[in-house]
Amino acid sequence: MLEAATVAFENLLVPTRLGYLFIGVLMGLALGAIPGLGGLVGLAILLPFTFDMDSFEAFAIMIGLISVTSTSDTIPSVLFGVPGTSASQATILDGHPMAKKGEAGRAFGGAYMASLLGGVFGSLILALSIPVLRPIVLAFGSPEFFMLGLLGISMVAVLSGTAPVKGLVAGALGLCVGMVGMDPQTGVLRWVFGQLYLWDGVPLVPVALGIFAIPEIVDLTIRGTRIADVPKERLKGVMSGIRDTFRNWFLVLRCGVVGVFVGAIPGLGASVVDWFAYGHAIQTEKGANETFGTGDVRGVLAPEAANNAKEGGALIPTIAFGVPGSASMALLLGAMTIQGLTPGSAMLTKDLAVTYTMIWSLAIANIFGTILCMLLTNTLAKIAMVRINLLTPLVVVIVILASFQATRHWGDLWSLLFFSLLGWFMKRFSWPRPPLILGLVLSGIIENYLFISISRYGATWMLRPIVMIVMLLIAASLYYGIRNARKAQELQQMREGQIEREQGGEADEV
Amino acid sequence: MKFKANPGALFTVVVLLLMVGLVMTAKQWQYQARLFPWTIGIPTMLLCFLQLGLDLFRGKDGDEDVAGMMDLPVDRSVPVAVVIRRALNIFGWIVGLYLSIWIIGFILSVPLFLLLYLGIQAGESWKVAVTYMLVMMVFMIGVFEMVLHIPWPPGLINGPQEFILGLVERYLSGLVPI
Repeated sequence: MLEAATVAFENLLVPTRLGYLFIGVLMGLALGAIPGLGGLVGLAILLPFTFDMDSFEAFAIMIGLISVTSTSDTIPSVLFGVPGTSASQATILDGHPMAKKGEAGRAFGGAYMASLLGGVFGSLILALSIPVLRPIVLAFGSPEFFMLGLLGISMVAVLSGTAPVKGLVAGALGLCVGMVGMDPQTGVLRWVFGQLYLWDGVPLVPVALGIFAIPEIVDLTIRGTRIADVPKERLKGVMSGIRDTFRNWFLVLRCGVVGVFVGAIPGLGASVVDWFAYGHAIQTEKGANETFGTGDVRGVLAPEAANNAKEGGALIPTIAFGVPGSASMALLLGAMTIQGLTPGSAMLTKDLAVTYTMIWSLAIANIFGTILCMLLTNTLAKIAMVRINLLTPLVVVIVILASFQATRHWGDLWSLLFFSLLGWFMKRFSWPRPPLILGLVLSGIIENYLFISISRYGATWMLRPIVMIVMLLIAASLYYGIRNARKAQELQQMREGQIEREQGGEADEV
Repeated sequence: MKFKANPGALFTVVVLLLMVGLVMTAKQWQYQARLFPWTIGIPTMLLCFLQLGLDLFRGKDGDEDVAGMMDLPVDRSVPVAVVIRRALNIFGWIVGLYLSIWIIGFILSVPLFLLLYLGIQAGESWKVAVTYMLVMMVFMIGVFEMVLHIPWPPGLINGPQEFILGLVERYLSGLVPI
């Protein structure tokens, strides 16, 4: 295993691969700094351009991109109080007050160093988990992998919003989109509507771009103004922030663990990881109740360490079990299958070098990302202030060109338009979109597992112990998700009632 | 519990009809081919009915609290009429770009789209628009034509696109003799 890690490191040191990693990091930093866009949009755009790359290059650029969006997303959070991505919402609570107090540099120094340590910690945990996971994964058969696929989709469906039913339907829609085309078992053409283009199925690229990229840019355009328009201030005290990180090393380490843990659970991820870490810091840090929210650097270190560590955690179920926990991991899984790799046991045995390349890419990208952020904070802040009018046509054109790379057929463009409209409506009506992508990516894989399970074991596949345990986990995740959603809705109704009463009171006074 | 029609419910109805259509179509397939579609599709139809009930009787506009969503929340401060107008506008530009690609091909449509969008829709100065257009043309020809060798689909009027591609080819063969 050590040999595979060494070979992977040597593989990555080839200049072209390091170059791709660097390009990925640059793209990730820019996308992280622009509120509203993020790693997912970048990954969807990048996907078709990886078709002609070897697997080491493809994963270097893709992992380079997703590893660092959580590093640069700190910039708009601290400077403008607008989260760069959903993973840096908690950073605002203390980061922005720090900027107002003239301590933006200190906040950045701390955030970047915590991000670096969190990211490297996440990749270390991922590397260490491989020898532990290998015997477990090798003991799994088709029935277990089928159930794990369903578990992944159901968890993402119920946890990615407060409307679990919508999440489940979105996941099922994704599975149905994945069934379009010729059925590999029978040769029956499913839902192709007489279109030759659909015989091979709906390609992932136009769906991902349509579901995520276009709706984001349409919404940014609808908002109409520049994304952030607060003037930037001069940065000083970066070194003091770095020293803060080392002074609070144990907090950073604990939040790294929180990040890995949250990242590894399908359905949790970017939008909650920062809150988990922030909550943990409030509960455990001395005097946090008085100082957090007023510009305490520990309130910046905690979410930043966690949101970079989560990628390492998220890669664990994706690589080992083929269960992506988020939409970006689903796209990475899609890239794996495009590269001819099968997640699961093969990634831990014959393709171990590719797995270790991903781990090295994750660690090195975090180092690149931190150094670049230290050097380029002012430039990245300018990117965050770009006028949306200049961004919209550029993104639209790049998305259309990227989409056309899927099969280089007009069908790609029609798929893009259809899924853009679907994605935008889903966004406006609060339908979670990640389950749809997960369903699409996993559809073919889990249908195949179901087919093998039934042909080989008949109905008895459901009686296998691990299958039964996973069934219970699915039931538990559905119960928890629905209960959680109900609580959130009750809380919202209470808030609305309170607001109405307050407004009524004000009207009476008038 | 009170009944309230809302656009969110309309979207659920569309999804429900789509699922019904998918399940009904699968009826004619042989057992193995329809096993998975029905395993997923039939429970999903029931879930759609459930969601429709929630939409209609919970009195919400499909506008749940998005806490916990893997997304940044939608900005609800813009009035719905403005949202619809601006969305139609941007989707209109996208459809316009498609039409242009169909008529004159990619190579000309993409820079033209940038020029017109920035100059007319975004209200940028024509200097900015022309610079953007030229940079995009260089990027397209450099990356998509010279590096990726994309076979661009011909437009209805293909002369201009062929002329530009011919120029690039002549330039390249002069630069790199075969």
